[in-house]
Amino acid sequence: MSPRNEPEERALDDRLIDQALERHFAAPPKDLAPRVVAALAAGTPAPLTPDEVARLLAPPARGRARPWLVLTAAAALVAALFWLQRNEPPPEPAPPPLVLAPVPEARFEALLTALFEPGAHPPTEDPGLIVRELGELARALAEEPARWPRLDTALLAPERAGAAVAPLDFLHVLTDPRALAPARALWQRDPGAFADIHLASFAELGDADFRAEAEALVANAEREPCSAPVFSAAYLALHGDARGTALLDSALLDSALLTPCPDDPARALAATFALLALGASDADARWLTLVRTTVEDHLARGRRLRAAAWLEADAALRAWCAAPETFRLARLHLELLEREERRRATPLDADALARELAALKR
Amino acid sequence: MKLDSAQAGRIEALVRHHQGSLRGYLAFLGCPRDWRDDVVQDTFLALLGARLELGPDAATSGYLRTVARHLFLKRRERAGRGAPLDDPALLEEAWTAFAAEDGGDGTAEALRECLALLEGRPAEVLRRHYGAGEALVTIGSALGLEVASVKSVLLRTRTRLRDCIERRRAR
Repeated sequence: MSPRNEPEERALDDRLIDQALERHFAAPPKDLAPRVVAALAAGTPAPLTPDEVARLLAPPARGRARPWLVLTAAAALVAALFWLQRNEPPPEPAPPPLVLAPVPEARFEALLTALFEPGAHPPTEDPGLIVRELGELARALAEEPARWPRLDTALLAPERAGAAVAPLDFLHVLTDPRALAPARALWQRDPGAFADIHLASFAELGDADFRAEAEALVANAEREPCSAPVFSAAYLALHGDARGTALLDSALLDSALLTPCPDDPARALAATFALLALGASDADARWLTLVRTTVEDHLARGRRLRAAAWLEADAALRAWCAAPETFRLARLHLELLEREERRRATPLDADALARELAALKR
Repeated sequence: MKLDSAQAGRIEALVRHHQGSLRGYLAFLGCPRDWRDDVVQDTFLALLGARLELGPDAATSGYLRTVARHLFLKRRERAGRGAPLDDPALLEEAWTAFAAEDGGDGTAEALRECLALLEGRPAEVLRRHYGAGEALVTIGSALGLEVASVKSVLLRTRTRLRDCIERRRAR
């Protein structure tokens, strides 16, 4: 909350009431929808260029830049949401997003350079800017498949350190089989760069080699906190592999595997979804225990957003259980981030969160 | 720009979803009534031209408010009314708290209920000021009040309404 003194607060509140009264007493306003459509159809120039709009929507930089890795990982995960939403049914009834103009060639080239040329992206602390650019890039690929080889070239250039986005973080969330070719090439170069979620996501696209790597990862899993390959295990369990199921079962049974990383509901969610899909109904009770204790802990420490994130994870699990065919491991982080963003957009009320938690307990 | 009927339909739905809240926000910023429709239209044209994906969500509402505030400020500057607005962060915080998740519909409903409880001179002053758009001096002479008293009635009534709305929204 920004500091607001009392007179300032009162003045703003007066203005809010003032406009509400004005709206109440005013004649019904004109519907501007036909006017906007007519203006667009007539080619009325927009009052701002796309670049000006992008600059306006970028939050102002604050203080010292955070490490790129954190920023880019989050950005890349959220990025494909826009693209994915075009290709899969939205979880709630809503008008489809608007895509009004194809991404021009010059813009596609500029995006490749900005995102994947080391050091090309201007320093920014705005994850939203990179997310928007990645969303636009994903859209450009979906619009024109002939652009894929140029993406491959950009991703596979020898020197990638310092690029705005890690290639694997972008590729694995695309859920497009065309992402497999550059993924295989990156594997040849640096298999150590592939994390559990990357292997599971590429295996999910039907690639036998990545499935074999996921199997090897699970077979050699060590019972170390936060390092159990839960995503690969979930993928294998959902595809009939008993070793995957066993690892998931132990991950949820042995809280030591999950409690050291309590702020990542994605791992526990993936495990629970897979176990429930296999008919292990007791997984739900274990999940709920984990969610309750974590939310209570966050609320006790005043971390309302983190508490809300776990409650949203439970809502996401319920949604996927209701429509299991829509579950994709590659989309898991995206879904959770999207839900968290929605929460962030409105004030978080501790009492309301406590009520949600109480409802969860019933 | 060529629009097929599906695109036009989606744009119309988008505008209808956000236009009421956006007009309210502009009023909150102090945008004159006769500018608002133009600023709202320009805001949609700017965002639609930027190839952003827009929908009936909070993120789109935020984009619209940011662009609308900018366009309103530019228009004020051109009109020679350059007095600064409040801190954008404070404005944003106050508006999002007011509009909550429903774009202000809940507050509007609470206001309707609170106004129904209002009687006598305060109700008359509000009706004349906000409904008929009468000047304070006209209201004063019609009701036999000094202008300062009319202002005072308006101030007290707004405070009562604010408290009433807060109580109803907290329920």
